[in-house]
Amino acid sequence: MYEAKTVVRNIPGIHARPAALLVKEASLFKADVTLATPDLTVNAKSIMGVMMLAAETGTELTVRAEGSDEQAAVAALIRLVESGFGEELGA
Amino acid sequence: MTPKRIVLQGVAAAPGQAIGPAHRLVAHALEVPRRSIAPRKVAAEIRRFRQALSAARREIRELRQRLATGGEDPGDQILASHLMILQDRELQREIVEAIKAERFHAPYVVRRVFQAKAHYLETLPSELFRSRAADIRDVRDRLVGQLLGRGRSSIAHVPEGSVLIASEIAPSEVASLRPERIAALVTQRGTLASHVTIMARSRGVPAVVGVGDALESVPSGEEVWVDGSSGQIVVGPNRADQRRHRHWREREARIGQWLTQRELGPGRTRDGHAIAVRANIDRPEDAALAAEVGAEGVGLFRTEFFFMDAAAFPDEETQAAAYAAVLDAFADAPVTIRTLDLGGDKHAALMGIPSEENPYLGLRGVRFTLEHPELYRTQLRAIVRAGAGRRVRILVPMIGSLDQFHQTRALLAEAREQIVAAGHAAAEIALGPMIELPSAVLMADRLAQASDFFSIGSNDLVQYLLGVDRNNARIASLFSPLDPAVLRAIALTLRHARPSAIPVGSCGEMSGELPGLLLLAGLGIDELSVAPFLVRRTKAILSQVRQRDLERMAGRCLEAEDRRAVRRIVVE
Repeated sequence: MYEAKTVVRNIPGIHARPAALLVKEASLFKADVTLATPDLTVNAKSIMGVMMLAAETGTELTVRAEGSDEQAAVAALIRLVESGFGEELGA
Repeated sequence: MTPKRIVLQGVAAAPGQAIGPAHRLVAHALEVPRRSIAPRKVAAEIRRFRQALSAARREIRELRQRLATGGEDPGDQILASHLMILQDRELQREIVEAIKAERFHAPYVVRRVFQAKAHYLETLPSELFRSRAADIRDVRDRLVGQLLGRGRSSIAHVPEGSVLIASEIAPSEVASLRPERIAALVTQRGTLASHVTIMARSRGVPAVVGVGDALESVPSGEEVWVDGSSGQIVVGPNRADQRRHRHWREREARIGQWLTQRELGPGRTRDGHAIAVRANIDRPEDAALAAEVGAEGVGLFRTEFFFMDAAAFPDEETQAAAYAAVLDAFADAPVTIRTLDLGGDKHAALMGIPSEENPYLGLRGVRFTLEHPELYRTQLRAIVRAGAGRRVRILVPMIGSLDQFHQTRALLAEAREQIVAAGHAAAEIALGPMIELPSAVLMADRLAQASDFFSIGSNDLVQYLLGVDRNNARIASLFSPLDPAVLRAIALTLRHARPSAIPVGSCGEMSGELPGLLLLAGLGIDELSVAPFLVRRTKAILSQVRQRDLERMAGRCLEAEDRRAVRRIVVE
């Protein structure tokens, strides 16, 4: 298992569009990938799950993966979150 | 037997009137009995669920093809997100497991699983995430409808000329609504910020929203009189109602005749006093329509559309392209772009703004953008870039003090320097405040010295001046732009602006409605900005009246005791 932490940077957070991007990215990997906020852990390949996560700007996010390409999966998702999904970043 | 006459009050969402038979959209999917299935039927039930899934997916794909808007359209984005939900493997697993474990039939399990998720989202503090619950209910109903073999009565097949009644219009349905077929639209839920409200307003369909549970008592086929200007609905209108509606229709017809007979040039009164008639637009694609109906520029380009459907806040490039698209439609006439007006009833109370006890008195408009200077700078830079060589004005919402205006002016100057430094051409831009807070009215003389123009936002001005929330159906009747207090505030604004010789416009609903627009003209307004479908009509009305008469009338109204007296004077 491999994991890393980051913080949601884009405004207003992981709403519809970023959620879709995250799910698409996670689905590219073989590993099982989860996203966790302090409140909730969800399957990163499930749009419903990521919607339920409702992570707003500033939320701490743990990306965890288990499988043959776990490191690459975590790195890719962390990169995506930190890029702010190409959206405006919070101060 | 004549049916009983019932009067219901909702929120006035889009102006105009209609009488027609009610056509109720029924969500059959909501009534799903809990039915157990035999253990040997479980596998078949799961197969049935999978078939319903692919049928629902096919339905969405077909709908997208029919709309064929090519990705950029918010309606299409909504459908794309619904498709993703229907493709969610984890969700399918959850439902399949539940069918196996509980042995209830699929529609019941689907409904329960979706319902739990929608409920969870509805408990969240952020409006952005809460509003996704509507999407989940939307997908749920599509799926359950498939399973039960009966969809919701389709919104695309509403009988012509009927008054559409629904508890709410789902986001995916707004796209397939055919506004030219329906006489009016009434919803139980919904606010002034709903998709359906915005669609109705831009397409000229009279609409009342937020009527509440009382609407459930209106059966299909019952005759209904809808007044989208007052928010009143009369079920089973009597003779007097019919007569009042007929008078209204005759007046509209006379104006309509005028519209077709006359080639309408720039807005002016019969005695030659010029009043520019511009358009209010909500989306870049509205600009072509506005130009086509002869709008003398755009008096209000709302930029909240970027946030509709919880899309992202776009970068400078994307924004500049959207602004340029509007500017392209107007070569010589000015285009007024309003900076982000979030908060209050706007969608993007969404924007991770923590929910506020009293959002209308909260972090709205310029208060929000000054708190998020990066957002503000990006938008200002995009406007400066797109506006090079054009006539652009920037309108700043919710200005309550000179300081906020000066800060905006400084940010704009900075944005301009950055654009020039980056080697782009930059626009010379006029900057003006929206006059919608009583404090701005009282400080208008000083504000005028710092401004290039004023725009009176009558909707909010009425709300803040009279202390009436127009989204609250119980006091909506207190909301009136005809209140003498409102007229005095407008007169004061115009008087304060005069020494600085800046143009003063008005962009609220009052600007396109009788008698509001006559009073605005009489008080000395320079520009009226109205929905595109009202542009020709507003010009036609102006061309029939004399400025001299309007001034005399407005003068008398300023001395009137209450709105009833104002109405009497205007009717004379």
